[in-house]
Amino acid sequence: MNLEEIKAVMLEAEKEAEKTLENYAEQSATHQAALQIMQFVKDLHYGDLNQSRHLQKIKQIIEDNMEDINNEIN
Amino acid sequence: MKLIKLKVKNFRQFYSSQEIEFSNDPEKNITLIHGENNGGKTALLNALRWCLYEQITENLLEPGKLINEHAKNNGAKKFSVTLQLQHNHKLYEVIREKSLTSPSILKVYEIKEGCYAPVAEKEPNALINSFLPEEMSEYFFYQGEGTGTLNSKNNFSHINDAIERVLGLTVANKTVGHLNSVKRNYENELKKFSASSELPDAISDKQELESHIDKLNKLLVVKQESAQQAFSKFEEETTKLARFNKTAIEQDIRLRRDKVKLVSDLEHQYAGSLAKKSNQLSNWIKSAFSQSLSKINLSSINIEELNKTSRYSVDKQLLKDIIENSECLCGATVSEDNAAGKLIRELSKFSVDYKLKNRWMRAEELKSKLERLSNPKREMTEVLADIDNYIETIDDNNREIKELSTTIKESDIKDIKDIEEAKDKAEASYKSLNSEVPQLEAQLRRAKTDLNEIGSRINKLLYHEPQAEKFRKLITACNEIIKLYEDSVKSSKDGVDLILLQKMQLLFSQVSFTGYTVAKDNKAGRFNWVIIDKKGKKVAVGNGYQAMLSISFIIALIQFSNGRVNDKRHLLTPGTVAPFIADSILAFIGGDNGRELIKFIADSVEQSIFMFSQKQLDSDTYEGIKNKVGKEYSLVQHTTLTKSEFKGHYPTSLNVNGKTYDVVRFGSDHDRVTIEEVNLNG
Repeated sequence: MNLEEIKAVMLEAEKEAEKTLENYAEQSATHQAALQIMQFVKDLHYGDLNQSRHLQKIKQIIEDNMEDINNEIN
Repeated sequence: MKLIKLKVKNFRQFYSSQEIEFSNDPEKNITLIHGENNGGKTALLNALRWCLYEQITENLLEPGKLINEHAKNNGAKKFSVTLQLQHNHKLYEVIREKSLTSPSILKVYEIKEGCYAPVAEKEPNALINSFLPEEMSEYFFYQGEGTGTLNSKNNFSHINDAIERVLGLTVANKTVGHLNSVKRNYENELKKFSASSELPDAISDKQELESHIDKLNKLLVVKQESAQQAFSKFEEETTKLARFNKTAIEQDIRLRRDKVKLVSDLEHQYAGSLAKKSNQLSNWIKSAFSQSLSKINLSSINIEELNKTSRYSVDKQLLKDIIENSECLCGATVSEDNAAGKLIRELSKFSVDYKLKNRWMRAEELKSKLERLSNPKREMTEVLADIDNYIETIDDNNREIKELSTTIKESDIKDIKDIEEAKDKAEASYKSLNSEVPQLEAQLRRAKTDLNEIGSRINKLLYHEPQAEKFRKLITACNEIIKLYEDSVKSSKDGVDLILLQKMQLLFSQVSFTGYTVAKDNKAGRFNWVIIDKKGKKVAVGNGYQAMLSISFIIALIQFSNGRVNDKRHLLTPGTVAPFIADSILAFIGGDNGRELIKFIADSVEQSIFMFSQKQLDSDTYEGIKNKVGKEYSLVQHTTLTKSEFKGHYPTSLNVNGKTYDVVRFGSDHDRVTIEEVNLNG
């Protein structure tokens, strides 16, 4: 196996690892909840959303994902 | 994001509607806008910021008066800025309009095949911030003059803040803050379910400890920052003190006196050399000519007749005169037929031309004399070299005298006490703050260990409280999400400073001609950027290099942000590709550095918009970028003043690339600015 072939194999392996990580992140309940909260705070921060009870909304997201997150870590 | 077109209507100096189309040609990615002070350059930059974010720069005078005064006096009640831009292959039009009495209205429309979408985008702010987040825009929309510019900011808090913004941590940090509040809320709820006081007490202890850790973290940052500032002050005062050193000044004065004497001697010798040159000049010319003459070969001249006749003493000219006059000296008639005539003709064969003979002898004597002369060229070369040498040495010494005089002038000895005190105070402050930093760090470590212990204790207690199960799970979920955020933030920050440093060093390698570059200077656990010389020694630099340092950091941030446009870490705001818009970027940078800096920026970003005054846009700078200029505009002020009333304010015309453009036009019915496109093809 020459250097170019080794490089190609390693690149392929890296891509696969990245994809696995992405898939895991996308499937992870914690990550899903974190993303939802992030999107909500982003909308709030950049001004289109006028929500006075923003902590309540975050609580709602956490409560909706609570069981899945706890199952995930156990 | 790429800017396509900007339209300002009754905004600041721009009466009615004025438009600018930005260059989008990848080969000619620069849009150049030139104008003098008060010509509307800063207003244009602010039009962009106001349209997108309803923000204005700190240097904008009278920021509350955005509507054009003349339009307002004529009854206009609204002003607006419209920006067309392209993002991810989609074309949008952003319109912000404000009336005098109500808040501004923002609308964003997508334009497809020349048609506006029937309905405006539902979340215009979120959409705009997805093109270029507001917190990053300060770096893309650069203001180089006035107060509040990035030029003056080069300390840890500014650098760290900028890195956090470009990494998209603003929203992530805010989210973590909200999550901690939610978690505390759950913990307070949890206390209610406990039968004993042990769990509520432990939770209270934990919350107190968390609050203490938060305070310690903030205090640590303040102390580190203060220590860094105290050290900078100490360095500054030490530098001043070096100039105030009495012995050093006395030495400088002695040195200057010696140099003044040396210059006087040198000037005397210089005058001598000039006189010598003057004296030798005629000799040198003669000698040079003679030298040429001496090279003539006399043997090539036919002197056979001269050799034959030289032994006689009958003058050839005399015989010629006798024949012409037909009369001899003795009074006898001389004709062709008589005896006297025959005798004279016979004598003519052996007569000699005395003048010719004399000239020949002189020529031979001269040649012999010339051949014995010394080399005149060498002597003159020596005199001229002496003169050059004197001029150079005198100039060098005069320069050194001037430098010494400046140092001596700045050395106001009576202030030395104040400087000494300020230096000692700064040193003591730095030492004290610097010793507090490790103490605070140790306190933090201990508090975090305690927090972990309390956390474990609370978890154990929770298992004995079945009713609290739900809150235990909620708190666990909160902790997991917070941990995910914190890990994401931490991993994104790793090594960023070094990546930025490399980018800044690359800029300096192409722009700085002194060999200066950028380094990271660590003090009291914090760092800032400093300029170092070829030997790696920190150097004190003027405004020009300080501005270059700031700009190199900004360009590095922009490049870094461009590289993060496809960042996979979804929890952070990704980077962005956006144009670099600079008002007065060369306010403190001139000459070759300025020219190279502009070229470097134009090559580093996809679209650049530069706004210059005449002072900043010299012919060299223009020459360096002219092949990349795709669109060019001139900002023209129309004033009610006459030329004589206006006189002395600033130049009324501007020279760019050998052409003259109006900057001011007189006798207008009202003050306003017009944007006039420059025809680049003719």
